Amino acid sequence: MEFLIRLIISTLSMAAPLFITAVGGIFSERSGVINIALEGMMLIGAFFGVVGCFYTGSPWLGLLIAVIAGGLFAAIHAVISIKYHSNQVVSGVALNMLASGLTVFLLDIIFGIKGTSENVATIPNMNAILGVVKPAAEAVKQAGFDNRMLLYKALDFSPIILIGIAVVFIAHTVLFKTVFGLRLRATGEHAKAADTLGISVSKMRYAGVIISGILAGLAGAYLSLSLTGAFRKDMSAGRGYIALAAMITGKWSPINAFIASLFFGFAQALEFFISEPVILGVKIPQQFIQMLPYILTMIVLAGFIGKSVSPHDLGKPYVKDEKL
Amino acid sequence: MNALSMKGITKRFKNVVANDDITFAVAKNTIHGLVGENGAGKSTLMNILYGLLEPDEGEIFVNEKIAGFKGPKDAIEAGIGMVHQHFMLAGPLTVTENIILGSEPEGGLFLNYKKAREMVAELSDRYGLIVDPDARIESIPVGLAQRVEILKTLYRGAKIIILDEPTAVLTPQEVRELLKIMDNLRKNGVTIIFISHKLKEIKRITDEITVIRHGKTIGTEPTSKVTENDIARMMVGRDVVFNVEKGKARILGQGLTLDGIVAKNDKGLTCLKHVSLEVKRGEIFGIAGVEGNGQSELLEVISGLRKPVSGNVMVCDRTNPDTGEKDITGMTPDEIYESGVAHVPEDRHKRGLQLNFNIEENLVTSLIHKKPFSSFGMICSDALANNAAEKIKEYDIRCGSSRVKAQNLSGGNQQKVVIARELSKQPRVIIIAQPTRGVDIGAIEFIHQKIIELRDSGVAVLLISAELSEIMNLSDRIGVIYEGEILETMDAADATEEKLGLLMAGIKKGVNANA
Amino acid sequence: MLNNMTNLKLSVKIAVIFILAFFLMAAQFTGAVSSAIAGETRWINVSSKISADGSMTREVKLSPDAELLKFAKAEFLGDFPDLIEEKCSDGLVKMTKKFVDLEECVGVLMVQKDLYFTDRYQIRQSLPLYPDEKVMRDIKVRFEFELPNGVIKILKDRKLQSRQLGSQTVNEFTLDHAGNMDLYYQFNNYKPITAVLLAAFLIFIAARMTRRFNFILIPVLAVLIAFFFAGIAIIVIGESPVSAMGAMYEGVFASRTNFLNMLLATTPLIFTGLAVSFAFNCGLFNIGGEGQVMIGGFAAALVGIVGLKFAINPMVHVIMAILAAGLAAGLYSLIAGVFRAKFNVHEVISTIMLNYIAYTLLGFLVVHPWFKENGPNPQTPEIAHSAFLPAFFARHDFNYGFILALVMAVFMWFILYKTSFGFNIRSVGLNAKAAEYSGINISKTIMLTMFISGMLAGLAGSERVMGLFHKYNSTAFVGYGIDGIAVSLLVNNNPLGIILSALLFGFLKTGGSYMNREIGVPVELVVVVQAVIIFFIAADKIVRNMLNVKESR
Repeated sequence: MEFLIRLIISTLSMAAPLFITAVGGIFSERSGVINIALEGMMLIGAFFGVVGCFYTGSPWLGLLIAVIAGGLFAAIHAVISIKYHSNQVVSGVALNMLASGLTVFLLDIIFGIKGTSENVATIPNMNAILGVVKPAAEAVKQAGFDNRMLLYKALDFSPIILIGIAVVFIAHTVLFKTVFGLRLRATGEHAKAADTLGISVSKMRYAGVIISGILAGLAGAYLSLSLTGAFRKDMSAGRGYIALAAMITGKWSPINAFIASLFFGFAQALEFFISEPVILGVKIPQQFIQMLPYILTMIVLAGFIGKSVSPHDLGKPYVKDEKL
Repeated sequence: MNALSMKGITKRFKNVVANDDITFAVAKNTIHGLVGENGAGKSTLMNILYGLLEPDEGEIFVNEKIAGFKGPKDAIEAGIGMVHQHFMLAGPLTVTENIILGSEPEGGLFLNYKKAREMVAELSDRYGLIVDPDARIESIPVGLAQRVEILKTLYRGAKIIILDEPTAVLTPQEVRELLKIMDNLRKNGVTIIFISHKLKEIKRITDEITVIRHGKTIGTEPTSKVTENDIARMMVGRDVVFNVEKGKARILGQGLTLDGIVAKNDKGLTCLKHVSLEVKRGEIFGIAGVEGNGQSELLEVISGLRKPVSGNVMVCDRTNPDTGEKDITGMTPDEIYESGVAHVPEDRHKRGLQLNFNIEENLVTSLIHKKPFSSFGMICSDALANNAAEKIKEYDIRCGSSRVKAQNLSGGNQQKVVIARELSKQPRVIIIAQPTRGVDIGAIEFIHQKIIELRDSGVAVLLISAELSEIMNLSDRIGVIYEGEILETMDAADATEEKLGLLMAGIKKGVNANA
Repeated sequence: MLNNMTNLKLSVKIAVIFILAFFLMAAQFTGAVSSAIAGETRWINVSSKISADGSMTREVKLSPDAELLKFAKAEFLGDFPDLIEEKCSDGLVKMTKKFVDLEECVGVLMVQKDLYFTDRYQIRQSLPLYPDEKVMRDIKVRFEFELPNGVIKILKDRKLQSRQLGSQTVNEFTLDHAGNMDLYYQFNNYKPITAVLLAAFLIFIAARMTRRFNFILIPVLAVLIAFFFAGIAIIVIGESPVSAMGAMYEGVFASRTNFLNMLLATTPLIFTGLAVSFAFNCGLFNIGGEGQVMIGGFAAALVGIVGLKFAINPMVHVIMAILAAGLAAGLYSLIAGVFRAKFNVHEVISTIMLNYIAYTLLGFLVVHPWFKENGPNPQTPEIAHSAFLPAFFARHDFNYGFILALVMAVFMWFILYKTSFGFNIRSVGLNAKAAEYSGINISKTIMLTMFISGMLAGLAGSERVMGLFHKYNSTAFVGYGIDGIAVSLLVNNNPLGIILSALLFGFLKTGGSYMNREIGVPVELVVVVQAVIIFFIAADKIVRNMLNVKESR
């Protein structure tokens, strides 16, 4: 029982930054803007979360600042891709580079230390928020029954995970049940059609990209304010790309991406429990499990298992044609 | 009362005048045919009407009231709807979603899909446009997608609907359905502007027609007062008559033979229905026909870019043309060149040229791996330069230097580059499509001269052109293509404009015109 | 005519921006913090003027206090007998001594002149302790140095209050330090930098005026804008952009080692830049350089390790290892090519995925008992000496890989622009439809291009392993692939241009880390600069609007 709870919580903890970011990516790509800068946006979120917390002393304000920073950072991508019709992949590459450089540069200036920031207050876990106290060891022993311990452990996760899960379902509703979502999807599928119906393509795309930055910022803040309590150089460590993978394997749908992220998170969490899982009598090295998201993405893209098709106008800058 | 009138509309793009002082009016509750060849300026005019383009000059009146459209939104508000030639539909979205997009019912936060669905169903009932409101666009056939487009305009309360070549992508059954729908709409008080160059449809459904040629209005006539070949003549015009001096053809042996070619277009519809023809060496075989009747696909089949469903393409042997024909069906474009077939494509920007390459380079694309242009894979720039100098002189390509990028040349000179390159392959068979489209008059004459020379040197020439006069002047024999079939083949001497016009409209001799 | 006028106006605008920027930087640089002179303090003014011929004139001016005079004479003028002593009108005593050459100065101060690329003087001035403890706080020394030319930079010491004016520097101290201490001054002649900036500016203006070299305007301006941003960032953190720039410059040109460091940093950038450019010419965006570099490096290391068991002729071994690296990375990249050609999977996504697959795969292999070196680090054993890429000089790793990189750049240019194969690649890249029509097999071209592109990236890995690290280490190979994108985009993917652009980025990298050590500006500034450059290349419309240059498609 305890093992199961730990496994579920570890899986969720590893998956949360993935699905939050993936959902962000979905908003951007559904509106037609390629976003390989998720990694950088996450990093910016992680960094400004810590900075915000460092100056305000409140991790919650830090979270807010992280989300704003992520959104603003994404706005750069939006302006360059939408207003200046530039290559969205190039812009994404530059943003990732900028995030990686800028965070360490500012880290050095603000904290005067290389590589890691000072420790800041973290966002309390659910058990702390709900006031569930860890029972003393003796008490557990005496009672011989560890319900309270179980409860404590079961609530030992960040509230951001809950926010993230809510985000998934809200995103699903927004995308598929609201006017805004319909217009956003139409813009990514057929920008010209949207334009001929009086929908502003660039507004929709700005919204999509900035939402992706906000969510990636949230995921970044989760990493720094919930998991570690400090910023480390390049701490997103490729999670933005796994989120990209989850988005693609999830076929640009929030709920599917959520499931894909859970799977990827599970694969990562497995490391904590089993060093070398054995499948059918063959030892599988950890690294092969880590590889799984990437390989799965390739397979899904190639159409070996259920073809994943991107939004039709993805990556195509929308230029109002002089001659139609 | 006129539902709509446009007065003195002029629109210029860079150097091209797309619409030159166009004036036309559409009476309320009628179907008005707007006819003209590709590039005549119909689409530009309609995009102006729909607010997608702003005219340089001229005024638009809707219901006798002046209207200035800043964007499609204004046009929609004025009750104008447009069904574009290329559908403006998002594939993964459902029919209902596509229809309500941009003017969702009860503009609240949440989408009232149920209500939207009801509204769509109600509309589709009222006008007899039956579609499944929950189907995804990507899963329904073209004919239904078009209904969705029409519903889109009706949903927005359109009283004037522009249909931009709606039948180009439809099967004959679907066309029949569409015409029925249009009739129905007219009965329900909708005014329709119907753009097409399929004269049969125009004749059958419209109340009035306006013909546009080279950006100018040629005239507006009640449909009942004109015959199909009148329309055809108005469309093609007689003003571009060049009399090319040519002697009698010296017919040699077999050149190109097409045997029962059946092919599908990109939409998966059968667009060539058993096309068979023979082009002898030393003659020009002209294919006349209104565009979109399978010409493009025919070219692609011959040049290897499109695989036919059935049928064979055969060409004479390159070295010994008299030893019989070789089957080239299913070969790659490269192998087909090697078999002695050259090809001047219809769209030189899309296929014929690398616009970013200079003249020297464009003169050798697809020849570059051969001597003298390269040896052991290395390009001999001298050979390229010499070749260019030679061709520039021979073909009178007007350019600053042979290093000028193709995109900076005029249309005529670009075409000369393409022709020069294709002829330098020393083909036995050449397919020439739209050789003078967008080409200035001086170059037209030159290009025609070249085509005649080619014939006289014993090459089999297959000429495809939308310009009737070009076909009639150059060809030795003429075949008319209509809906993927060669309706009739005749000697050029027997061809008259009238005869061709009727055939182009799909009317065979002895068959009832309205069949 | 009208056009020329707007051209001129724009140029003026740009010039004004430049001048403003310059003043902004200069303000920081001259923004003097001159301290108010306290009333009771007794001053020793030491001013030294070094002439171009190496002679130095030193003037010491002070209040006529015997104790002070004796102290100053000994410490600042070396007790030379031939000094001239005179009374000034303001009651101070002035002692003057002319030193014939820098040799003679020894004992008073140390002057070193560095002749390698820069015109740099390094001066070491000892600051002695005043014998009388009671009054030492009230005695201040002011040093003034003047050199023949160039700008003066004081090696970082926050305790110093300094004022710099052109080629002069003034510093003031209280003689209350707990012991003897040395002051280091460094006098740099920034003429070369000024020349480079001026040249860039002139090229820029010339290109604008003649409208012939528009293609270099965008990269040059992108770099200048990026530097401008960096300058602002440096000002924000309270440093002088001029000294930062100077430090970067020194980091590359001040010594042979520094210069070789730069070339060493350039080598892999040329390879990865070529990898990106070659694919780009075929319309493919290979951002899989990261993974390909790693795969290539590991393959080279494996072949290198084989040499530990069998003796192999160095020549043969080196070639084998390089070929293995190229082949392995090429085949790896070919996966993305096949996915693109056969399944229409966009190469951007597949190469990102392949990067991580390579990273984890090698993470596994490198700790596998077959390859792992005994020890804590995830790295292979050192490769056999026979597989080392020979270095040019003793005690420096700069190696023949650089020559290979140059050769490859020329070779790739040759392939792309001088062979029929390259002609076809460019055709596919520019207009695949037309290329298909002219008989080119598109999928074959795509696959072959991806193979060659990967191979080039793999060579970067082999150079790092065989010429620098001499082993494969799972962390040392990160970043080269991404840098290659910046290198290639800056010069519009021209293989020959890549040499220049790789040198620029090599300069930024080596100079950046030196700058970090010297004046404490974080080295990541370089990464930011790199990112900003890519931004402005990507959004070239911004730059074009600034320049009013039409897009040449």
